[in-house]
Amino acid sequence: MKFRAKLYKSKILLKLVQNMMKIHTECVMHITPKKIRFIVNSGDIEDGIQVFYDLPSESFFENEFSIQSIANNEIQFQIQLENLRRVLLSAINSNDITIRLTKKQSEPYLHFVIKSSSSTVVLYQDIPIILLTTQQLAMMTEPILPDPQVYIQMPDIKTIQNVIDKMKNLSEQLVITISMKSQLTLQVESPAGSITTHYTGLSHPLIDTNKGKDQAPDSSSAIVDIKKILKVLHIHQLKPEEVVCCIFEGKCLLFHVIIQDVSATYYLPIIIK
Amino acid sequence: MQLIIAPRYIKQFAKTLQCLSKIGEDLYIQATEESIKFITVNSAKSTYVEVNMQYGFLEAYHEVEQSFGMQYKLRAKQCYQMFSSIKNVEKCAINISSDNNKVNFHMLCKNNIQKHYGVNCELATCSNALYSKNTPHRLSVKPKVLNDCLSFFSGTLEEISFQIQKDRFILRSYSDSPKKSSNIKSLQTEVNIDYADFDQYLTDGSNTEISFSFKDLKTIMAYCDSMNSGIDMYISQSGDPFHIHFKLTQNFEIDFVIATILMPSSQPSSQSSTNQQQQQQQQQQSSSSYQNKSYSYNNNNNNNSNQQYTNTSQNRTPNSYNSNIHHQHQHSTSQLSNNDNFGGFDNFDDQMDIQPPQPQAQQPIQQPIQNVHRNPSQQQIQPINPLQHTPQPSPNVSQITNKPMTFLERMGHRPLDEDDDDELSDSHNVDSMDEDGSDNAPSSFQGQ
Repeated sequence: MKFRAKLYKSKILLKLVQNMMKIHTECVMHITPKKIRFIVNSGDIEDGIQVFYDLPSESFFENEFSIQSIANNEIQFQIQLENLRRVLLSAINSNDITIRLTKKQSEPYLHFVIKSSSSTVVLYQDIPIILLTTQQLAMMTEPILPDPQVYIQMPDIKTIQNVIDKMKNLSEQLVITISMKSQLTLQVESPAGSITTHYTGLSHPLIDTNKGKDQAPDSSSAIVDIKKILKVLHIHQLKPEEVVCCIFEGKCLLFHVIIQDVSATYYLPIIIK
Repeated sequence: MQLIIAPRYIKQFAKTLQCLSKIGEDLYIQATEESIKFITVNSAKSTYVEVNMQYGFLEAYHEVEQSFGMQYKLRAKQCYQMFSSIKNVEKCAINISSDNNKVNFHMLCKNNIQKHYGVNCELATCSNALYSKNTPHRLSVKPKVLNDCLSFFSGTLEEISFQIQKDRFILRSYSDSPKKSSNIKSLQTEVNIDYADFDQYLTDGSNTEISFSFKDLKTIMAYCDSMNSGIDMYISQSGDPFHIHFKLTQNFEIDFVIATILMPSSQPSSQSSTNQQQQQQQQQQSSSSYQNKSYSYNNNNNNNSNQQYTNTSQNRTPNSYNSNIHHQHQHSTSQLSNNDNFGGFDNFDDQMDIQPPQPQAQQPIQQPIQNVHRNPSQQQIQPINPLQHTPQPSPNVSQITNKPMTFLERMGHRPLDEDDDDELSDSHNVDSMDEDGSDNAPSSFQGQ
């Protein structure tokens, strides 16, 4: 098993890692010749948020990388996000970062060599990792869902976050309703009162659906834990270009996020009454 | 005793008190005619800080009620708290009176507000550290260089290593127990600094590596960096004190002394001659052997009597092995343990910066003889090479229960525990072997 690469765009990666840390403290990295995939999955059934980040290899490693393994040249391992964050933070002023897979005292490590043109200091960082088998990885695949029937492009995430933050004081559960007539409604209820926020005039991204439009419901709603959706909304820090929210009634709430060439998918459990 | 801090240095003085309170719990104030010293030692007695202030840094300084030569002990945290509104403080005076056992801080703040703080104190003597500036490696550096590098290290790191090579200086995270289970594994960091980044880089090229507490170093470097003045580092070898000298002005200097871990490889070879004795004294060994591997400031010269003496003292004084810090004025109950803490004491004699008042050069010679007379059953314990250590099952049961780990843990001396890992696991192995052989209960229990 061999892996060696030069890391570019370390600052973007740092931001992504900081964002993942909002969900969970560790993640699984799955590196293939085509893409780097981060799987953040708390493993806790209670929590149930699953996040998949897909980064194109050629954009972060710029062809200066080699990967070899008996499993289709793919490598997957578990890594502590805090360690990765610290290493990327220490590389913030550097423009020459090399990553390698090494073994020290028969323990696997992700070895970083960080150099900077402005200083003579050479920094070596070794992050302990736990290598996973393909079988273990197979248990972390994305949930299989049908094509979404209700979906909408979210307005500015930052304002949504502010709105939901206020709603948090009233109730722990948020009702999110998407209408295919360009409308999004956020609602919290308590015995004392309710707050509803309406957004209109939003656009729907084009999604190829096999089924005819007439069969699809006009609108759909889901109840989610307000704290969990707030965790997801931290993505506004990444200044995403596009955030699409889909409701799979009775199944889950899904956010597709596109940040430059990185795409992320958040799966949120919904509360069924 | 009364002193007034020069107004332009009040900020620095407050920062110094903060640094002291981060390292040690107790602050000792010692006043002499020419200077006033603020001293602290951390709870594990592995880090010692001595602040030396003289007239110039102090606006006024004079004796009241014959307080010179006395040492006062007070809680370090309490001294810092009053500087929380440092921006408003225009003048700060400190007054120590032994009448009511109080250290009084008088602050003159903006708008003519006066504040008085009385901190209880007691007469107590602090341990003193022995260190030398005549070391093989002498480095001067701007604290910023090191402080920046320390930020690369994991926050949970306990010990850090410095390696001095001919042309570069290496900082490395230090862990002495690679056998630790995988979930405790942490980030390993190594930083190479070119010698050109140092203001002065004197080394004898012997590739010395020293390891010591990361947390205290971080505190010290952050402090020195904030004071914006260079530091001098004096390094000799693993096991010997690591000395950092900080000088803000002629009248304000700080010495930081950090105990380093004694690496097994640096133990002198003369010790193997007493192997036979070791085996007879198996029981004592396991309790004392880790002390030999631990923090030790004792000079490892090959003088045999000196060596034996050192080890005897280590065996008998588990609370003082980890540094060369010792008491100037011995308490009657612990006189012995305080006295015989210095194996390689005579080597330091002419280089010592701080001289305990009594003539000490004779102690190392006299003390071993006394030991033998007083306590003939006491055997000299030599450090053990772990490879030569052949476990002897019989005495181990009592030995493990009597292991002074709890005592050390109470002292909060974590580096030692880890240091002990090799020995410990050894003993545990013996323990389990013993159990398996004599008593099958555990395994049959598991079987059910």
